[in-house]
Amino acid sequence: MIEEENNRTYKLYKIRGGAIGGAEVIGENYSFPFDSANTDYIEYQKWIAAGNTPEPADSVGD
Amino acid sequence: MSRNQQIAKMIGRKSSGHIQSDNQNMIINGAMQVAQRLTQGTTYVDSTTANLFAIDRFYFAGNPTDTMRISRSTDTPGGGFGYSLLMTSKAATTFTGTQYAVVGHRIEAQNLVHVGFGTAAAQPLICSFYIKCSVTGSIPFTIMNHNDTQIFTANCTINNANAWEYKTISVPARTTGTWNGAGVTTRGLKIQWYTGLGPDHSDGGTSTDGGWNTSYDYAVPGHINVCSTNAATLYITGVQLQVGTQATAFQHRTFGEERQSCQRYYQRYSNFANYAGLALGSNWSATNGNCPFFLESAMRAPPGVEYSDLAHFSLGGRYSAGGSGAPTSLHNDGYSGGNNLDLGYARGGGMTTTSIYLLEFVNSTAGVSWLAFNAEI
Repeated sequence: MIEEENNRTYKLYKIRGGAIGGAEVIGENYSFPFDSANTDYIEYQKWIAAGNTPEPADSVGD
Repeated sequence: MSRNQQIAKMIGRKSSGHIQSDNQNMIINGAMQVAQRLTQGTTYVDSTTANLFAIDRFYFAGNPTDTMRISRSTDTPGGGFGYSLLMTSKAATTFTGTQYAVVGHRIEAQNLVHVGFGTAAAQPLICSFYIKCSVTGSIPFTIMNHNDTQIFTANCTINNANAWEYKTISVPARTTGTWNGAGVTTRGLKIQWYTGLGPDHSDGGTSTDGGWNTSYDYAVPGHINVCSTNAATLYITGVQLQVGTQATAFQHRTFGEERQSCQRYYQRYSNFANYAGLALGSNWSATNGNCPFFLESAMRAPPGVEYSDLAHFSLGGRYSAGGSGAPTSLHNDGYSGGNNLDLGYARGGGMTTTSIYLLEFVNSTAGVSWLAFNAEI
């Protein structure tokens, strides 16, 4: 089976309340929510399963 | 004469036993009318990463990356077509092992229930399209299910270089395998033209011209790799996939119909005037806030957020909150269907909690600034 090559790296982002809501793709001006129907999230899960780790989310200012 | 054939005769439409509705073409944007990503001063997209789009609904991908440049051409076969997809190879690439380059179109699973693949009621399909290529020989054409375990292969043979040719490819009904169906909004089926394919996916010996396999054989041996010729060109338009065994004339749809269908998967909003406002948001911290953003139509799934350079945007405080500056990120903080999306933003700091901020474009060059929502499959 052909696996699409994923050279992306990720940084998490927070939503209201401080929970992690999704990830930004570093260097691509693109972010996506953690939802099982989102194609980029599916690719992200494969990336995580391969042993990779995203950058942490920025802290939320007071 | 079957009942289906009787009905088809009454409505004056050719049929081989399968009634085809007026909306017979399962391909969205088959005439390449909609290219939201190419209309803002960008004329092409290179295959630098996986699963990219230039013309709406037609993706391209490859390993190695950056073998193809996709643009939209006005070179067409006539017949009412205004545009074609143009693939230009960027080098003479040798494809080894499992390497590949591909142009394709994915269909959402719930739109394929009537095809019945994976059941005893499966229907045959026929795919038709116009193609023009600078290289002669057989281009691998495939249809696959959502996880690439059911694979149909056929030769798309270019007989004459640089001449438009009309192709029809018959796809036998597939009664076996797992196929996503009713209510599933993710991948269902894809059609693909391989512009490059390494031997590991073409020399397995199980693929035939017009047959199904489950052995990850994507091409019939002897095929060509268009991207193995530098500056080779491949044009495609008039793509139609329909139930039946006889291709009918391409179903032309209006631009508005096609655009609306495309917007289920991708919507782009562009700056056509300086300081074009986007949304009013409320800060829940000194660094973060949310805007209600109203989409033109509902999307397939919670979308990702794409944007031009963040320096093209401004977050400005209202009602004495003061201060403006570019956001440091934009993201989807909540979407559960419909046209209302919770657009989150962040700025490095200096904003006032619970105050109102206006998110707007600031770049005065029309077309440079844009915000898009991506729910492609």
